[in-house]
Formats: sequence, C-alpha cells, structure tokens
Amino acid sequence: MRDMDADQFVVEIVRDLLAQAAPQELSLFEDTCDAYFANPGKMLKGQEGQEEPLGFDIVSSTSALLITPAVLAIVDQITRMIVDRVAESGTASKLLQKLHLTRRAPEKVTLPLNLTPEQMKQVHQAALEKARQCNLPKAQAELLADSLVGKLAMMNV
Amino acid sequence: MIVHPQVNDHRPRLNPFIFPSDTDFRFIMLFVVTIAATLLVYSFLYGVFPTNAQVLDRAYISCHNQACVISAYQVVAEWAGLGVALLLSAAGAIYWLFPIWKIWRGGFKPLHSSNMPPDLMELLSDLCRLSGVPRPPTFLLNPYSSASSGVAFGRFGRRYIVLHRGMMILFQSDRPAFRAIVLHELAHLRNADIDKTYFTISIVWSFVLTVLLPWVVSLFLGGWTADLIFTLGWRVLVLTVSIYLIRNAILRTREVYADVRASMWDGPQGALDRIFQSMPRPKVSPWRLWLRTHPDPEKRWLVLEDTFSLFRQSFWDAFVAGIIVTIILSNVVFFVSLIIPVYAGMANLREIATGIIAAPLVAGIVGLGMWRAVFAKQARSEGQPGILQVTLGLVLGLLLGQPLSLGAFGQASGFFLGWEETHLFPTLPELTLSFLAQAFLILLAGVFLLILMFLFLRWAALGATIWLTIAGRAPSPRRFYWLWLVIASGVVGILLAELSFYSQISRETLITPILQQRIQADLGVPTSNPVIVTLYFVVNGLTLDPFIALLFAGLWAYPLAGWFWRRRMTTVGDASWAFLDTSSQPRQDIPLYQAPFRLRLALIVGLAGGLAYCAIILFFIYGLKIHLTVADGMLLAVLLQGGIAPIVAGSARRLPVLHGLFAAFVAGCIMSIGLTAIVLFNQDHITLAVAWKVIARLHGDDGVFRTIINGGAFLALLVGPIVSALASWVRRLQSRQQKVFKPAA
Repeated sequence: MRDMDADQFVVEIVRDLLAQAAPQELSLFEDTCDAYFANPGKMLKGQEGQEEPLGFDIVSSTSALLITPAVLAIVDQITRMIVDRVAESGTASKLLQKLHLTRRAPEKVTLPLNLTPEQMKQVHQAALEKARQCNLPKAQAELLADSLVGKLAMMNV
Repeated sequence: MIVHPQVNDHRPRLNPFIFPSDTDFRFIMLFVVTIAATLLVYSFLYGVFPTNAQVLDRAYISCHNQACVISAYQVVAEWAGLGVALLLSAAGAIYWLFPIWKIWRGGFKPLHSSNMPPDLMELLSDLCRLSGVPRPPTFLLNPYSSASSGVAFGRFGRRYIVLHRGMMILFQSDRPAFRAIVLHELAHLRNADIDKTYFTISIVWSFVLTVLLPWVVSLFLGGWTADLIFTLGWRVLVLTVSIYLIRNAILRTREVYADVRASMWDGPQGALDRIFQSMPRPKVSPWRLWLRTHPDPEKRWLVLEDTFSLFRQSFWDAFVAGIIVTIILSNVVFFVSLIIPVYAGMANLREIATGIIAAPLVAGIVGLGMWRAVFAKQARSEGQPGILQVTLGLVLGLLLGQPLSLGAFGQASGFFLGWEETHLFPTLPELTLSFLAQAFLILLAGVFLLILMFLFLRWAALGATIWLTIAGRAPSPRRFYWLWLVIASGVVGILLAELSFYSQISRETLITPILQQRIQADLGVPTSNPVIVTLYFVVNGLTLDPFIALLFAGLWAYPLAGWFWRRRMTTVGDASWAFLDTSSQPRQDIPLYQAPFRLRLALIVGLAGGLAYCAIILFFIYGLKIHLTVADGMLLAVLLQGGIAPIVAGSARRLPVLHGLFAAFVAGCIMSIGLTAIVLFNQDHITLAVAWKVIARLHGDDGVFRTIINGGAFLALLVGPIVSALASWVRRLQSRQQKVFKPAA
C-alpha cells in the first residue's frame, strides 16, 4: 500500500484520459491543472467568458470544445468521493479557501483503491452526472465515464 | 452564419489612418468633462461645511468690489483644484496598477515553450515584426477561458496580449484565423488604443471613488434639501450614464479601426473576412447593444470591405458632442469666474478663456470630421459633403446640454443662455418682461448659433478642399490639418465666447433699465429704446474687441494661403496616402483645374483703397479746410472698406467673400497707419514721446485700429456675399446667353 497526493492522483488520471480523448489539449495541460486547482469554480464557469475592452469580442467568438476542465472536474469529484472528504475545516480556513488565499489541505489517496463493484457503479454514475453538469455531449460523457472506471479498475489491485 | 449582399464594386479602400480619428478627441472630451464635473462638485462640497458657508456669505456681504469677492472665493477654487489633483492622482494610480491587478485576477500565465504548441512563439514574433509595433508585447495565457479570442491591455512601458485557451487549439486547427485574431490585437497596440482606453477607464473609476462617493456621503452630513439633492442628483446621474455610454461607443469604433489595420497586414487572402462572416450575431436585446464594447460582426465585415462609413459624420455624433461640450463650457466658466476677475477693458476674458479650453474639442470632432468627409468625397470625385445635418445636431446639442450641466445649476445660467431673475421679489411686469426677453434671446441665440456653426463648418470644408489638393503631392496631410486645427480652435473659441458673453449681457441690458440708461449716456445713443440701446452696446463692443480682429484674420488667412502652393495642387485621389490598398494602376498626376485665386487683385485694390482714403482725408483737411474728428475718420474708413470688399468679391470666382475680407483688411491697415500719421503730423512738436502718446491714445483708448479693422470686416462680410452672389448670377446668365447665340458647329 502506498499513499498518493489526491491532486497528483487527479492529474495522472486526467492526463491518461486526455491522451486518449483529446491529445491536442495536452500542451496546455499543466497550466490548466494549476488554474483549476487554484480556482475550480472559475475554471468551470469561465467557458463562455465576458466581453472586455480591446478584446476580439469574446461573446461572438467561437469557443473551442475543450474538455480538460470538465474531465478535471469529473475526476476531482470522483477522487473526493473515493477519499471520502469529510475533513472538517474551520470557518477561518474555509473563508480563506473561498477567497482563494489558501488551497485545500492536501489529502491522500491510498493505493490500491479496493473499490467494490457496487462502488465502481456509483463512480460511473457520478461521473456521468458530473459530465452532464459540465455540458459534455452524451456520447463523450459515456466514453469518459467508461475510461475512468477502467482506469480505476486497474488501480484496484 | 451571416449571408452578405454583394458589397463594394472592388473600389480601393479609403485610408482612415491619415486623419486622427474623432474617437481620439472624444477620449479627450470624456477626460475634460470628468475634470469639469469634479471642479463643480468639489466647489459644492466646500459649502457643505457650515463654517465654510458662513465665511463665504460674510465675505460676499462685506465686499465692495470684485477683487475682494474673488479673493474670498479663492479658497473655493483651491479646494476644487485639490479635488482635481485627487481625481488625477487616483486615476494615475489605477492606470498604473491595473495591469498587475488584471493579471492576478485573471490568473494569467506567461506563454512559454512548455505550455504552448510548437512554432507558436516563432509565429508570434513574426506577427510582431509584421505589425511594426516598437516593442513586442508580453504574451499571456488565460487558462480559464476556452474562447478563441484575445485581449490587449497594459500601461505605459508594459503591453500585454492575453490569448485565451481556445486560441491554442485554434493555432493547431485553423492557423490563418489564429493569425488574424493576433493581428487584430497587435493593431490595438499600433493604433495606440491601450493608453487611451485604460486611462479613460481609470479616470471614470477615479471619478466614482473620489467625487461621486464623497458627494453621496455629504448628502448625509446635512445642509442639503430634498429639492437640492434631486436637482443636482439627476444631473450627476445623467452625466455618469452618458460618460459610460459614450465610452462604449468609442470602444466599438476602436474595434473597427483595429480590424481595418489588421486587414492591411492580413492581406486579401487573410482570414479576417471569413471570421466575421462566420461569427454569430450577439443574442442580446437591442438596448443592451448600447452596453457592448464590440460592434455587430456584420458591421465589422462591411467596414472591412469599404471604409467609407468611417468618414461620415452623423447628426447624432454631432448632437452628443454638442451636449458634452456645452456641459464642459458651463462647468468651466463657473470655475473660471472664481479665479479671473472682470477687467474693465476685457469684460469677456472669462468667456474667451473658457471658449479656448473647449474649442479644440469642437474643432477636433466636427471640424476634422468635415475634413474627413471632404477627403472621402474628393477621393471618389463625388463633390462636397452635406453640412446641414451636422450643424443642426451640433447646435441642438449645444443648446439642450446647458440645463444638464452642474455649472448651470450653480449659476442658474448656461454658457449661452441664462434664466435667472434679476430681483429676489420681481413684480408681475418685471417677470413678464424677463420671460419675454429670455424667450426672445433663446430664439435669437439659437439662430445665431446655427448660422455661426454652419459658417464655421462651411469654412472648414473650404479649407479642407484647398489644402487636401495641395497635400496630394506631400507624403502626408498631417501638418496641414494640424495647423488648421490650431487656427480653427481659436476661431471657434472666440465665436462661442463672444456669443456667450453678448447673449448674457444683452439679456441683462434688455431687462435692466438702469443699465440701459448708463449705456445710452456712455455711448451717446440717440434713443432710449431698449433693443436699439442693446444693439449699440453689442456693435460697439464687437468693434472694439481685439479677438474679433484675430478671428477675421484667421478666417481669410488659412484658405487664401493656399495661393502660395497653387501650382502643387492635384486631385486627392492621386495622393499616395489616400487609399489603403496600393493600386496596380500607375499614379496619373492629373493637374487639377479650379477657378484661380485673385490674391494679387485683392492686395492691389486694398492698397489702392487705403491710399485713396489717406488722400481723401488730406483733401478734407487741407483742401476743403473741414475739421474731421478721429471718429469721422474711422467712420469713413469703415464705409470705404464696405466699398472695396465688394469690388474684389465681385471679381473673384473662388472664395470671393474671403478675398473681399482680405482686401478690406489690407485697406484697413493702410487707413489706420494713414490716420495715425495725419494726427501725428498735426501735433505742435513731434518727438518720440509725443508719437507714443498719440499712438497710445488712438489705438489704446480710442481703439482706432480695432474699430477700422473690425468695422470694415463686418461691413465687408455683410456686403461681400450679396455682391458675389449677384456677380455669380450675372456670369451664369451671360454664360447661358453665349450658349444660346453660339452658332452650331
């Protein structure tokens, strides 16, 4: 058994998933991950952007179909489920986290995962639900959920 | 996707970059109106403190002369000045720190080889070289946005271009589109949009923090009635909203200019065209379009195809400019009156100072707008642009903007028109007279403003027509229109100031019998009719005003100076700077035919007229032994100029009225010198001291030179157009008759 940093765990899983689903996004992967962990809400909200002076007109511009943030969000949520994030932060540290002045306390994932088939099913369902919230197309969401479950299964032993 | 009708029969695109954009002057206008509003609000804030108000009231009551009042109110002026210093300091700090804050807030990361696709840095360097920006910007990545877009920002010495995450994918999937978008952002740097935009944003924020906020706080300190709060509040609200909407309109225009600039680099095979055609129209309600800082993609595409629309002036542009300018004028004159006393010899100095401050905005926005319109028409050989719509817009804006100004509230008077009563408790006849006088003056002032602004724009178009044809052989028309701008600012400043001063004075005179009596006595007016007394006062004042002489000189000097370069004139369409896209056809250098200048004729007639005047005076004194007073001499000089000017105006086919003015000026100078010499030679002893005394008396106290020059110019302006119109009609008649009687070939 070995412990692994939860964020690092998320990064590795997402990298593997992107290598199959969207290899063209790997060049931006590290910066996107850093930005996601710094401010997950902004990352997921910022898909449409806001009009700014001296921009090119972000409202009318096309947005590239980038799935990295969505995949990060899915895997992050699943990881939290696995780790069972119930660490009770104090009010002050929660406030600091809200203001993005501190990050969440690093948590650990213990390998192998030892997930039961029932838990794997829950993971699959949660992944699909999160993908729907992130507005991923249905086919892509299912492919991701399947890949994720497959990847976790490999880490189960 | 937008389906576009076939636009542009592939005519070459006019070059919009040879003139300063009117948005440059609108940025300055926003800056100035914010400062003007700050001066006013801080002046009001000074009086919020009860002790301050009591001190001012005591000083006003105890003061017996104007210098004393000015001295007492000096502290208010200093307080207001401090307010402006605070505004500018805060704006400077916001402007300087804004890029740091934006980078931190946005979570932007520097672009480097590890976080971008291969070859991207090389392409960005190539594009920077292509755009010719003096210093390449720092490129940043916005990892939070998947839009295929970018943003330019920065401060002096630090320029940034942020590329959103979607651009990295675009680089791999559609490189021409990536290239076009980056060129658009580089165009903002090249067009110098960053400092103007972000300083405007900074000063608006600073205004909110250092002016609006203190004013709102002061409402709770007492001393403000509900009526006062409402009266001031709605003006502040309208001003703030207007500034925001004007800012957005300016930014929309800057986007279009950036598109045009980028298209020059992108080339006809570039992707910019395709991008706008495929861009969806923003799905916002019509009123929210006013809040956007980007124009409709269809409009952007249309301008890319044909830049002609960038050279048109609209009624609404002129109307908004008029409103803001008159707000500036009304606010600034309130402040200027705190610091500049009224001098006996130059009662209109405050108005002149105020007019000169605001005049460059009028000249820059509508005056240079006329230059752009003339250029566009001439380059396409389409005649002259219309003037009436722009004039109407400008004048309506100037008049209707007055009640909006804070200064108007403070003085119960706008820059052009007043509406205050003369007594605290007027009687019914006084009130009726006041109302009728004001209604009459509003109408009169409006008509005068309309005529003056129409003539100003006509003069601007004339100047542009002449000098653009001369500039056709120069590498750029810049120095020609910048010189015009300086002269035009003086002309407009004096026009607006004089109209303001005399409309206010006339209003006072018409409703104040004591003032009428004093003027009647001072000027020897033969009647006590208020209208005639007022007219005498106005004419006397204008005739003695040295600024009027400057105004007339400016009017004829700039257009007629084109005579010296008449051989260089060519069609505007042949100028190397006229079009964006170099034509494959060789330049034709077609010489331009226009009716000739008659400057030599005007000079000779003016000289002859001046000398004839001297001969007549000498004949009266030594021939007929008739004693003539200096006043008789001046009157004769003015009347003779009224005859000289039409002779020239009737003979010249090109700029006849201006030729007539020039001839009158030459004659007036000779007449002034002649009259001075005759008076001097009639002295018992002629020494330097005596000569100086005579000159000082004649031209200082009596205003001989000013009266002759100004009086002659007014008469020339009255008679010249009539004679020139008659002469033109006769020439047309003769031309028709010749055609009728010409035997068939």
